Amino acid sequence: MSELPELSDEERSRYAWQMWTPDIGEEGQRRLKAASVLVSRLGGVGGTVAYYLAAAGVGKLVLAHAGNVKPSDLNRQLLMTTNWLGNPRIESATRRLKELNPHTEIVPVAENISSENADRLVSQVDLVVDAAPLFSERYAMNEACVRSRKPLVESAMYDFSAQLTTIIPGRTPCLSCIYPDDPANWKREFPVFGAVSGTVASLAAVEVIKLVTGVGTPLTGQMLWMNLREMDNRKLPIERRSDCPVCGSVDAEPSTDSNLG
Amino acid sequence: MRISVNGETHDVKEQTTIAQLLSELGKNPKFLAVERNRELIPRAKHSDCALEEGDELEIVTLVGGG
Repeated sequence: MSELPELSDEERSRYAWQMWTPDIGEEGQRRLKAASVLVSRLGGVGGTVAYYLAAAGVGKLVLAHAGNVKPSDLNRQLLMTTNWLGNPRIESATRRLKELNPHTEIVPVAENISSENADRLVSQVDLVVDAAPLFSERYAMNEACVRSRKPLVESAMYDFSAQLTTIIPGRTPCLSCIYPDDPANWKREFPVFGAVSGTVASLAAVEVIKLVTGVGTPLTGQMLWMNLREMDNRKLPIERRSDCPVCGSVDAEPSTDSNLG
Repeated sequence: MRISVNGETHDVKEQTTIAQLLSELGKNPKFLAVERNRELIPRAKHSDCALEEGDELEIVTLVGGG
Protein backbone atom coordinates (compact mmCIF):
# COMPACT_ATOMS: atom_id res chain seq x y z
CA MET A 1 0.00 0.00 0.00
CA SER A 2 2.62 2.53 -1.02
CA GLU A 3 0.28 5.03 -2.64
CA LEU A 4 -2.69 5.62 -0.41
CA PRO A 5 -5.71 7.41 -1.89
CA GLU A 6 -6.54 10.93 -0.72
CA LEU A 7 -9.67 11.70 1.28
CA SER A 8 -12.22 14.23 0.13
CA ASP A 9 -13.64 16.82 2.55
CA GLU A 10 -16.88 14.88 2.59
CA GLU A 11 -15.02 11.72 3.58
CA ARG A 12 -13.12 13.55 6.33
CA SER A 13 -16.45 14.67 7.78
CA ARG A 14 -17.99 11.24 7.47
CA TYR A 15 -15.13 9.43 9.21
CA ALA A 16 -14.17 12.22 11.65
CA TRP A 17 -15.09 10.42 14.85
CA GLN A 18 -13.15 7.27 14.01
CA MET A 19 -10.19 9.31 12.75
CA TRP A 20 -10.01 10.74 16.27
CA THR A 21 -8.67 7.33 17.32
CA PRO A 22 -5.08 8.42 18.03
CA ASP A 23 -3.34 5.67 16.06
CA ILE A 24 -5.82 5.76 13.16
CA GLY A 25 -5.92 9.39 12.04
CA GLU A 26 -5.98 10.36 8.38
CA GLU A 27 -3.39 7.75 7.38
CA GLY A 28 -5.41 4.94 8.93
CA GLN A 29 -8.49 6.14 7.13
CA ARG A 30 -6.60 6.24 3.84
CA ARG A 31 -5.50 2.65 4.46
CA LEU A 32 -9.12 1.67 4.92
CA LYS A 33 -10.02 3.47 1.69
CA ALA A 34 -7.26 1.58 -0.13
CA ALA A 35 -8.41 -1.77 1.27
CA SER A 36 -10.52 -4.44 -0.40
CA VAL A 37 -12.31 -7.19 1.50
CA LEU A 38 -14.22 -10.28 0.37
CA VAL A 39 -17.13 -11.30 2.58
CA SER A 40 -18.43 -14.84 2.10
CA ARG A 41 -22.20 -14.78 2.65
CA LEU A 42 -24.22 -11.87 3.87
CA GLY A 43 -26.28 -13.61 6.52
CA GLY A 44 -26.54 -12.73 10.18
CA VAL A 45 -22.76 -12.57 10.50
CA GLY A 46 -21.46 -11.57 7.05
CA GLY A 47 -24.14 -8.97 6.35
CA THR A 48 -23.35 -7.19 9.58
CA VAL A 49 -19.61 -7.41 8.88
CA ALA A 50 -20.20 -5.80 5.47
CA TYR A 51 -22.37 -3.08 7.02
CA TYR A 52 -19.69 -2.09 9.53
CA LEU A 53 -16.92 -2.24 6.92
CA ALA A 54 -18.88 0.01 4.60
CA ALA A 55 -19.57 2.36 7.52
CA ALA A 56 -15.85 2.40 8.34
CA GLY A 57 -14.97 3.41 4.78
CA VAL A 58 -13.36 0.25 3.40
CA GLY A 59 -12.77 1.11 -0.25
CA LYS A 60 -14.01 -2.05 -1.92
CA LEU A 61 -16.21 -4.90 -0.77
CA VAL A 62 -16.55 -8.05 -2.85
CA LEU A 63 -19.70 -9.73 -1.56
CA ALA A 64 -20.70 -13.32 -2.29
CA HIS A 65 -24.20 -14.54 -1.51
CA ALA A 66 -26.65 -16.54 -3.62
CA GLY A 67 -30.40 -16.86 -3.37
CA ASN A 68 -33.45 -14.72 -2.75
CA VAL A 69 -34.64 -13.01 0.42
CA LYS A 70 -36.85 -15.25 2.56
CA PRO A 71 -39.01 -14.24 5.52
CA SER A 72 -36.82 -16.33 7.82
CA ASP A 73 -33.76 -14.25 6.85
CA LEU A 74 -35.17 -11.12 8.40
CA ASN A 75 -34.55 -11.82 12.08
CA ARG A 76 -30.81 -11.38 11.61
CA GLN A 77 -29.76 -10.53 8.06
CA LEU A 78 -29.78 -6.78 8.45
CA LEU A 79 -29.02 -6.05 4.79
CA MET A 80 -32.23 -7.81 3.70
CA THR A 81 -35.45 -5.82 3.68
CA THR A 82 -39.10 -6.85 3.81
CA ASN A 83 -39.92 -5.11 0.53
CA TRP A 84 -37.29 -7.25 -1.21
CA LEU A 85 -38.77 -10.65 -0.22
CA GLY A 86 -38.46 -13.10 -3.10
CA ASN A 87 -35.81 -11.00 -4.85
CA PRO A 88 -32.02 -11.52 -4.92
CA ARG A 89 -30.32 -11.07 -1.56
CA ILE A 90 -27.25 -9.59 -3.20
CA GLU A 91 -29.38 -6.74 -4.64
CA SER A 92 -30.89 -5.91 -1.27
CA ALA A 93 -27.45 -5.99 0.33
CA THR A 94 -25.89 -3.77 -2.34
CA ARG A 95 -28.70 -1.22 -2.06
CA ARG A 96 -28.48 -1.04 1.73
CA LEU A 97 -24.73 -0.62 1.69
CA LYS A 98 -24.90 2.07 -0.98
CA GLU A 99 -27.53 3.91 1.06
CA LEU A 100 -25.17 3.86 4.01
CA ASN A 101 -21.97 4.77 2.20
CA PRO A 102 -21.85 5.60 -1.51
CA HIS A 103 -18.05 5.88 -1.32
CA THR A 104 -17.57 2.13 -0.86
CA GLU A 105 -17.31 0.23 -4.12
CA ILE A 106 -19.49 -2.87 -4.02
CA VAL A 107 -18.72 -5.85 -6.24
CA PRO A 108 -21.84 -8.02 -5.98
CA VAL A 109 -21.45 -11.73 -6.68
CA ALA A 110 -24.70 -13.71 -6.67
CA GLU A 111 -22.89 -16.95 -5.84
CA ASN A 112 -21.79 -18.74 -2.71
CA ILE A 113 -18.14 -19.70 -2.34
CA SER A 114 -17.01 -22.97 -3.93
CA SER A 115 -13.75 -24.46 -5.11
CA GLU A 116 -14.70 -23.17 -8.59
CA ASN A 117 -14.91 -19.46 -7.73
CA ALA A 118 -12.85 -19.07 -4.54
CA ASP A 119 -9.46 -18.35 -6.15
CA ARG A 120 -10.94 -15.85 -8.59
CA LEU A 121 -12.76 -13.93 -5.84
CA VAL A 122 -9.87 -14.02 -3.36
CA SER A 123 -7.56 -12.63 -6.05
CA GLN A 124 -9.63 -9.42 -6.13
CA VAL A 125 -9.07 -8.47 -2.47
CA ASP A 126 -6.51 -7.90 0.27
CA LEU A 127 -8.24 -10.08 2.86
CA VAL A 128 -11.31 -12.17 3.50
CA VAL A 129 -14.02 -12.57 6.12
CA ASP A 130 -15.66 -15.98 6.18
CA ALA A 131 -19.20 -16.12 7.51
CA ALA A 132 -20.55 -19.06 5.54
CA PRO A 133 -22.91 -21.51 7.25
CA LEU A 134 -21.56 -24.56 5.41
CA PHE A 135 -18.17 -26.10 6.07
CA SER A 136 -17.71 -26.98 2.39
CA GLU A 137 -17.71 -23.24 1.65
CA ARG A 138 -15.44 -22.48 4.60
CA TYR A 139 -12.92 -25.13 3.53
CA ALA A 140 -12.89 -23.85 -0.07
CA MET A 141 -12.28 -20.32 1.20
CA ASN A 142 -9.57 -21.47 3.60
CA GLU A 143 -7.73 -23.33 0.85
CA ALA A 144 -7.91 -20.34 -1.52
CA CYS A 145 -6.63 -17.99 1.18
CA VAL A 146 -3.74 -20.31 2.02
CA ARG A 147 -2.85 -20.60 -1.69
CA SER A 148 -2.83 -16.82 -2.10
CA ARG A 149 -1.42 -16.09 1.40
CA LYS A 150 -4.32 -13.75 2.18
CA PRO A 151 -5.48 -13.18 5.78
CA LEU A 152 -8.80 -14.80 6.64
CA VAL A 153 -11.03 -13.78 9.53
CA GLU A 154 -13.06 -16.84 10.54
CA SER A 155 -16.30 -15.90 12.27
CA ALA A 156 -18.91 -18.40 13.34
CA MET A 157 -21.75 -18.83 15.79
CA TYR A 158 -24.42 -21.27 16.95
CA ASP A 159 -27.22 -20.60 19.38
CA PHE A 160 -25.64 -18.30 22.00
CA SER A 161 -22.05 -19.34 21.22
CA ALA A 162 -19.65 -17.45 18.99
CA GLN A 163 -16.12 -18.18 17.80
CA LEU A 164 -13.60 -15.97 16.08
CA THR A 165 -10.00 -16.29 14.91
CA THR A 166 -7.76 -14.56 12.39
CA ILE A 167 -5.79 -16.84 10.09
CA ILE A 168 -2.51 -15.61 8.58
CA PRO A 169 -1.48 -18.43 6.21
CA GLY A 170 1.97 -19.76 7.02
CA ARG A 171 2.01 -18.12 10.46
CA THR A 172 -1.13 -19.28 12.25
CA PRO A 173 -3.28 -22.40 12.23
CA CYS A 174 -5.60 -22.54 9.23
CA LEU A 175 -9.19 -23.75 9.34
CA SER A 176 -8.10 -27.26 8.44
CA CYS A 177 -5.66 -27.30 11.39
CA ILE A 178 -8.54 -26.45 13.73
CA TYR A 179 -11.15 -28.70 12.10
CA PRO A 180 -9.37 -31.72 10.56
CA ASP A 181 -12.64 -33.17 9.32
CA ASP A 182 -15.91 -31.81 8.09
CA PRO A 183 -18.28 -31.88 11.07
CA ALA A 184 -20.63 -34.61 9.91
CA ASN A 185 -23.66 -33.46 11.83
CA TRP A 186 -23.48 -29.78 10.96
CA LYS A 187 -26.64 -28.43 9.32
CA ARG A 188 -27.11 -25.30 7.28
CA GLU A 189 -29.95 -24.20 9.53
CA PHE A 190 -29.16 -23.41 13.15
CA PRO A 191 -30.65 -21.50 16.10
CA VAL A 192 -29.72 -17.83 15.95
CA PHE A 193 -30.69 -14.43 17.26
CA GLY A 194 -29.49 -11.51 15.18
CA ALA A 195 -28.00 -10.00 18.31
CA VAL A 196 -25.71 -13.02 18.66
CA SER A 197 -24.66 -13.25 15.01
CA GLY A 198 -24.21 -9.47 15.06
CA THR A 199 -21.93 -9.69 18.09
CA VAL A 200 -19.38 -11.94 16.40
CA ALA A 201 -19.84 -9.91 13.19
CA SER A 202 -18.87 -6.70 14.97
CA LEU A 203 -15.77 -8.37 16.37
CA ALA A 204 -14.85 -9.73 12.92
CA ALA A 205 -15.16 -6.21 11.49
CA VAL A 206 -12.86 -4.95 14.26
CA GLU A 207 -10.32 -7.59 13.24
CA VAL A 208 -10.46 -6.34 9.63
CA ILE A 209 -9.97 -2.74 10.73
CA LYS A 210 -6.96 -3.80 12.82
CA LEU A 211 -5.44 -5.86 10.00
CA VAL A 212 -5.83 -3.03 7.50
CA THR A 213 -4.62 -0.18 9.72
CA GLY A 214 -1.98 -2.05 11.71
CA VAL A 215 -3.60 -0.96 14.97
CA GLY A 216 -3.67 -3.32 17.94
CA THR A 217 -2.99 -7.04 17.96
CA PRO A 218 -4.92 -9.34 15.64
CA LEU A 219 -6.55 -12.44 17.10
CA THR A 220 -3.98 -14.82 15.61
CA GLY A 221 -3.09 -18.24 16.98
CA GLN A 222 -6.03 -18.00 19.35
CA MET A 223 -9.73 -18.60 19.14
CA LEU A 224 -12.01 -16.22 20.93
CA TRP A 225 -14.81 -18.31 22.33
CA MET A 226 -17.88 -16.54 23.62
CA ASN A 227 -20.65 -18.11 25.62
CA LEU A 228 -23.25 -15.34 25.51
CA ARG A 229 -25.64 -17.29 27.72
CA GLU A 230 -23.27 -16.65 30.61
CA MET A 231 -21.32 -13.75 29.08
CA ASP A 232 -18.25 -15.93 29.56
CA ASN A 233 -15.58 -15.05 27.02
CA ARG A 234 -12.14 -16.52 26.71
CA LYS A 235 -9.29 -16.93 24.26
CA LEU A 236 -8.11 -20.47 23.60
CA PRO A 237 -4.66 -20.96 22.09
CA ILE A 238 -4.77 -22.95 18.84
CA GLU A 239 -1.87 -24.66 17.13
CA ARG A 240 -0.75 -25.39 13.59
CA ARG A 241 -0.67 -29.01 12.57
CA SER A 242 2.61 -29.88 10.88
CA ASP A 243 0.76 -32.57 8.93
CA CYS A 244 -2.05 -30.22 7.86
CA PRO A 245 -2.84 -31.09 4.22
CA VAL A 246 -3.75 -27.46 3.47
CA CYS A 247 -1.09 -25.33 5.17
CA GLY A 248 1.47 -27.82 6.54
CA SER A 249 4.02 -26.98 3.84
CA VAL A 250 3.35 -23.23 3.73
CA ASP A 251 6.01 -20.96 5.21
CA ALA A 252 5.49 -17.49 6.57
CA GLU A 253 6.25 -14.59 4.29
CA PRO A 254 7.98 -11.43 5.50
CA SER A 255 5.53 -9.09 7.18
CA THR A 256 4.86 -5.58 5.90
CA ASP A 257 4.15 -2.34 7.69
CA SER A 258 0.51 -3.22 8.26
CA ASN A 259 -0.98 -6.23 9.98
CA LEU A 260 -1.82 -7.62 6.53
CA GLY A 261 1.63 -9.18 6.09
CA MET B 1 -11.74 -38.58 41.86
CA ARG B 2 -13.56 -35.34 41.36
CA ILE B 3 -13.06 -32.98 38.41
CA SER B 4 -15.03 -30.12 36.93
CA VAL B 5 -16.31 -30.09 33.34
CA ASN B 6 -17.67 -26.79 32.06
CA GLY B 7 -18.26 -25.75 35.66
CA GLU B 8 -20.09 -28.92 36.70
CA THR B 9 -18.62 -31.52 39.05
CA HIS B 10 -17.96 -35.00 37.66
CA ASP B 11 -16.66 -38.14 39.36
CA VAL B 12 -14.24 -40.13 37.22
CA LYS B 13 -11.87 -43.04 37.83
CA GLU B 14 -8.22 -42.42 38.67
CA GLN B 15 -5.99 -42.11 35.60
CA THR B 16 -8.90 -41.31 33.30
CA THR B 17 -7.55 -39.71 30.13
CA ILE B 18 -9.18 -36.88 28.22
CA ALA B 19 -9.95 -39.29 25.38
CA GLN B 20 -11.74 -41.60 27.83
CA LEU B 21 -13.63 -38.72 29.39
CA LEU B 22 -14.84 -37.50 25.97
CA SER B 23 -15.93 -41.03 25.15
CA GLU B 24 -17.80 -41.33 28.47
CA LEU B 25 -19.51 -38.01 27.80
CA GLY B 26 -20.44 -39.15 24.29
CA LYS B 27 -18.54 -36.34 22.58
CA ASN B 28 -16.74 -36.55 19.24
CA PRO B 29 -13.19 -35.24 19.76
CA LYS B 30 -12.83 -34.07 16.18
CA PHE B 31 -15.11 -31.09 16.68
CA LEU B 32 -14.04 -30.07 20.13
CA ALA B 33 -11.40 -28.05 21.85
CA VAL B 34 -10.47 -29.24 25.32
CA GLU B 35 -8.89 -26.91 27.82
CA ARG B 36 -7.43 -28.36 31.03
CA ASN B 37 -6.79 -25.86 33.80
CA ARG B 38 -6.89 -23.12 31.13
CA GLU B 39 -4.37 -24.87 28.88
CA LEU B 40 -5.47 -26.23 25.51
CA ILE B 41 -4.71 -29.92 25.13
CA PRO B 42 -4.00 -30.76 21.48
CA ARG B 43 -6.19 -33.48 20.04
CA ALA B 44 -3.17 -35.76 19.49
CA LYS B 45 -2.47 -35.75 23.24
CA HIS B 46 -5.99 -36.57 24.42
CA SER B 47 -5.09 -40.27 24.86
CA ASP B 48 -1.92 -39.51 26.83
CA CYS B 49 -3.29 -36.84 29.12
CA ALA B 50 -4.38 -38.40 32.42
CA LEU B 51 -6.60 -36.26 34.57
CA GLU B 52 -5.88 -35.40 38.18
CA GLU B 53 -8.05 -34.64 41.18
CA GLY B 54 -9.44 -31.12 40.99
CA ASP B 55 -8.76 -30.59 37.29
CA GLU B 56 -10.95 -27.97 35.67
CA LEU B 57 -11.90 -28.85 32.10
CA GLU B 58 -13.61 -26.73 29.51
CA ILE B 59 -14.94 -28.63 26.53
CA VAL B 60 -15.76 -26.33 23.63
CA THR B 61 -17.84 -27.49 20.72
CA LEU B 62 -16.68 -25.83 17.51
CA VAL B 63 -19.46 -24.11 15.55
CA GLY B 64 -19.96 -22.94 11.98
CA GLY B 65 -23.06 -20.76 11.72
CA GLY B 66 -22.78 -17.61 9.62
